Amino acid sequence: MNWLSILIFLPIAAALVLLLMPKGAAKVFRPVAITIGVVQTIIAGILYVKYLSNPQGYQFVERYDWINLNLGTFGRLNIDYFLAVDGLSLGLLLLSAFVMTIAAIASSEIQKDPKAYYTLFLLLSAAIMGVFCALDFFLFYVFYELMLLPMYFLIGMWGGPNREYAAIKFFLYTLFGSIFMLLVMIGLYFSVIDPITGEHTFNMLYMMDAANYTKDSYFSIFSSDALLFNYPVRFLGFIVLFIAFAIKIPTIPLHTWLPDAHVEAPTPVSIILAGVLLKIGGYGIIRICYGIFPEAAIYFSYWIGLIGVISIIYGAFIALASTDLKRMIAYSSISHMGFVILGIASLTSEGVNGAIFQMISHGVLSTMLFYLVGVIYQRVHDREIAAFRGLAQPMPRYTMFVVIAFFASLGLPGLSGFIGEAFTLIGAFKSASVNALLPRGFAILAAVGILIGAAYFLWTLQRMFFGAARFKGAEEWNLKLKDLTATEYVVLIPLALITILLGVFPSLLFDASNNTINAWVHETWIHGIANLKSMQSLLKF
Amino acid sequence: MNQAITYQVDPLLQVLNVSAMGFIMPLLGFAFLSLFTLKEKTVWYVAISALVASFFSLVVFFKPLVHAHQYFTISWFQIAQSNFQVTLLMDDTCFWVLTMIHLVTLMVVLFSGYYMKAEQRIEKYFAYILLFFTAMVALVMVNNLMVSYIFWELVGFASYALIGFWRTKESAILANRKAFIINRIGDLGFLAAIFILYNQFATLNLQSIEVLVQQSPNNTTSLYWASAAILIAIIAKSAQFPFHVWLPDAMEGPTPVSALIHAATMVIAGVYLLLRISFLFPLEVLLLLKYLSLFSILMGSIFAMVQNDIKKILAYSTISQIGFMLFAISIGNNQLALFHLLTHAFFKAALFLAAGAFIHENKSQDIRLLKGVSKQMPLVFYAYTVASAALIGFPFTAAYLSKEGIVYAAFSQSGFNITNVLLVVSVLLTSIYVSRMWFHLNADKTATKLQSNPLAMLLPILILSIASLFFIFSINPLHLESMWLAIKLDHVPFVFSLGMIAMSLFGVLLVKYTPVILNPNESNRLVLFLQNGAYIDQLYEMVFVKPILKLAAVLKWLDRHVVDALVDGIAKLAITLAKISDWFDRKVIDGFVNLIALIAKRFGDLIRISQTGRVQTYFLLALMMMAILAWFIY
Repeated sequence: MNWLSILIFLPIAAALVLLLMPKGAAKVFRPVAITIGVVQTIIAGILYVKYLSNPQGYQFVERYDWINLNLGTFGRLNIDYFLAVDGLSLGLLLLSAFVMTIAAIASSEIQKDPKAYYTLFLLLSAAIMGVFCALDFFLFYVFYELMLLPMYFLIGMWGGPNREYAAIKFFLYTLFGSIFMLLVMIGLYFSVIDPITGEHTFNMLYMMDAANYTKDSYFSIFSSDALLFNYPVRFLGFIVLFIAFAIKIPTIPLHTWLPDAHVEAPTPVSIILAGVLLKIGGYGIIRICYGIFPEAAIYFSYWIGLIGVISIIYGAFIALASTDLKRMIAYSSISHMGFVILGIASLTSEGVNGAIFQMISHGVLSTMLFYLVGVIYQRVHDREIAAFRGLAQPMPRYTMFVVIAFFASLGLPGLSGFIGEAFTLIGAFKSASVNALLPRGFAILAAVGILIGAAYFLWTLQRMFFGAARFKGAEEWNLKLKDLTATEYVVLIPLALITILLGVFPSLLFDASNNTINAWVHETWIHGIANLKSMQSLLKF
Repeated sequence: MNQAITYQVDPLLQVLNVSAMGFIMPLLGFAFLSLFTLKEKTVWYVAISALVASFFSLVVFFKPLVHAHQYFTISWFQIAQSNFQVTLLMDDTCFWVLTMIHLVTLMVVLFSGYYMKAEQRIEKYFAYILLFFTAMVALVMVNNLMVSYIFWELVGFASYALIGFWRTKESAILANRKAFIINRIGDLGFLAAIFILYNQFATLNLQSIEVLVQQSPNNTTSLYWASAAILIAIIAKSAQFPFHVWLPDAMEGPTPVSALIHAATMVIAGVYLLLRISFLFPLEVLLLLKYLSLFSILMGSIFAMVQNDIKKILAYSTISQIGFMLFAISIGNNQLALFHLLTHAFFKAALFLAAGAFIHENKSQDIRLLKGVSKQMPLVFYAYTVASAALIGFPFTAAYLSKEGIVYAAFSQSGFNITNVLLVVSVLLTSIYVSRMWFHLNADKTATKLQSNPLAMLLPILILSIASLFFIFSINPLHLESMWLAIKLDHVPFVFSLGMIAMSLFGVLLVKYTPVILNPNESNRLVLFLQNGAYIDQLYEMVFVKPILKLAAVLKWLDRHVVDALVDGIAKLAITLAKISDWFDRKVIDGFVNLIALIAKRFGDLIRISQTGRVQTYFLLALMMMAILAWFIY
């Protein structure tokens, strides 16, 4: 069975069906989206379990010729439809399917033009699945750009009062990154040769092997004049790709689209944004930046680690100063994704495994957090922290879930957030004695970020949820602030359970990722050092 | 891992029983109570039966497994090439501490049935107590730093939930936040120690680390850092200077919770961890610990001398007594520290529960307003007196044995010097603040006796005060000759004992005959200074909290007005550039095109002038042209 293709095309098929349905059938749109999400989650879950029986290398491979154009003097344009997953992408795939399901359930608040909404939603779902499965750079790029369009409209049409500004900001930021990605991709295409057919290829796996680069091409390791503005072209390629993905994650200082996008986006779109889209940044850095340019990754690791540390602390501080609950959570996302960057930069198995764990854990937690914000916003259309006091009085069950989500986010052991943070930091600390890429101080500084994390979450709990009940909207709000509904339980209970489950049994994720990451760390290090030596002797930088 | 010293699970079934009943039962109780709303009595019974089941498993299943160095390992997960395991250690120390925790928690839960009667959300209260208990039991049993850290933090979380149990009470929700944050600072130390040790030894199993340390004793630099880091965690959790500030505030929680925090769980966790990990500590770090703990001993007892809130006095007394335990470890005598930990737990729990009874019946925490309790509830007051005697260290109490042991060990180790003299002074100070409290509570002989003394109130207090007496631990009231505790103490010379007792008695007499000590002048600057805990809180607020919030605000401003403004600026720049090029396009490029057209037009217009349609003009022009041509040719 072509499981991965089914994952990708199922939502597209559903979107086509939706388009053919009359506007009057609006009631079935959400159930259709939910069903598709559930089916995707089940398929991804089956793949996950299958993979666990033998967690090695790429599996569920699908490879076909897709575009095969004769370009005359340029040679041939060969683009493969090449899908496969490994321990790195499979967990994220499962997370995405799950988060999309939750987002579909959370879409009950969407009233305006449901047909367009769910069509775009399903298109987005397909693109996300594709991004995590594609191993052909061109195919990856197609899916990557395909995400942009529905996301732009989902924010721009169904968002808050300032939605157009936020949507265009999001769009331009991402586009800025991907245009340069396009350049690097084309450059790589003309540098890399398929060792079997001898033709140029977009195959990422071939791009990861130095032997496949034609001599004297732009990105060749063995070229003695691959300099641009007196700088190794491969380094520029790495920087450009890194910026593209760093915008997605996002890191400081490329982050300012995120708070605006979150504040304006409706709840389900916020969930997708934080739960899935940010992870594509982390995934891209591991798979593409580090995979294709290992020597640049090693060369710049200090700076990458530093960016991670600054993101952690800076994000935490601004979350501490935030007055809007959603903005606070957006900045806490920046802080938490900083751990991912730091873990990757450490280039240790602990760090990268921790980074993947952190991505998945954050995917679940941010889904929960944004959903929880949505719960009160839907009731009173306000989410200023200062507008609420003693919310635990009218909404005790809601408060219980908030406590779980907050404590998991601040890294309470036994819940998922802790494992990711702890292992990215262990990796960052270990780096100094294993590969000497990061100074030990990075891990210690990042740990300070954890402390500030505890501060803003606890402060918010104390200000919003505890104390005597007092609301900005007085009596009117007292009536509106009812405890959780059945639908809300359906969303929150699985999220809370997964958080606890991952915190108690981290092997659920590590068993799948460990082999892949051990091999990946080893290869990145060996290739990186070899490439770096060759380039340094040839280019004399 | 080091197979040589890891016993493979032989009586696996028993281990399963231990965990099933000792661990799972309270955890299930926690889950059950936190999910469902039940009747008050049912909740109480659920909590008690979970604890009794756990106690049962401790005695029946756990006790037979106890041997020195009895380890059980369960593999948890694998990352890189390292196996992370859950290692359980079942030795004597573990067993005695567990017994104490079980007994104290059970008493506290019994007492809560009386103290927390008719409270709202009572099921949550007992749920958190069970979580607290479970986390503490697990923390005592596990012997792997990663797993320890998990339960270390869960203990902190449970205390957060319990201190802030009355969540509409402003002071309580501020106190629990403070407790958690300060413990978080300590946790960073714990995490740092985990990084360092994992980096050095590639394992976090304590017994493996111990073997590795013994094999290659020259890893000292990393041991310095690791032990210093974990020391931060320990003094934060055990409320020692400079991280003690959360403990007096934690008094805002329900009183039985205070008993639990001070006697059986929270603050004990730090001491226990240090007992387990002190093999790591180089002498210099131990010396640092010695001075820190001595400072906390003195500071706690001095602050306790001027407080009027009975719970605050007891809180500062805990800081001081925990200091004694850490002091014992710092001079290399772990057994004495363990012994004092056990004796302290019983009398401190008794004191807190008795104080709870006083507070509950009189609705006041001020010792000057509780002056009639000796007549009001005499039985409780007797128990309170026994526990007070134990806190001072009078003979026939168990704490006499442990405290005297610590002071004597200090003297026999380093002789007559300033630190040891200060230790003796602290014995005097302890006697002073305890008897001050006692005299206040016994001041009014006219109070009326309370009609009813519910068993749920009386029983726990009496049991705990009896457990504070010598015969629980020793058959000899003046020297530890234990029937079961495998602790050996030096024989204390009679003269030394006499000196200690005299010192304590002197303290009592001093309070009785010095009104200034009994009722310190509240307008005195020094008294005010000490009552406010030397304004350390305010200092931290000024030095740490305010600047951090300020920094956060500044960064937020920068984020909005610089980073984001830059992006918006770039966007504006792009728009401006677009407008300029639009202008350029319209005015310059298009203008140029128009100009050319205009020139052509003007030129055309010029030519048009000649097109008059008159033959004479044409003829004239032709003539002129011919004349010019002729001029050119010739």
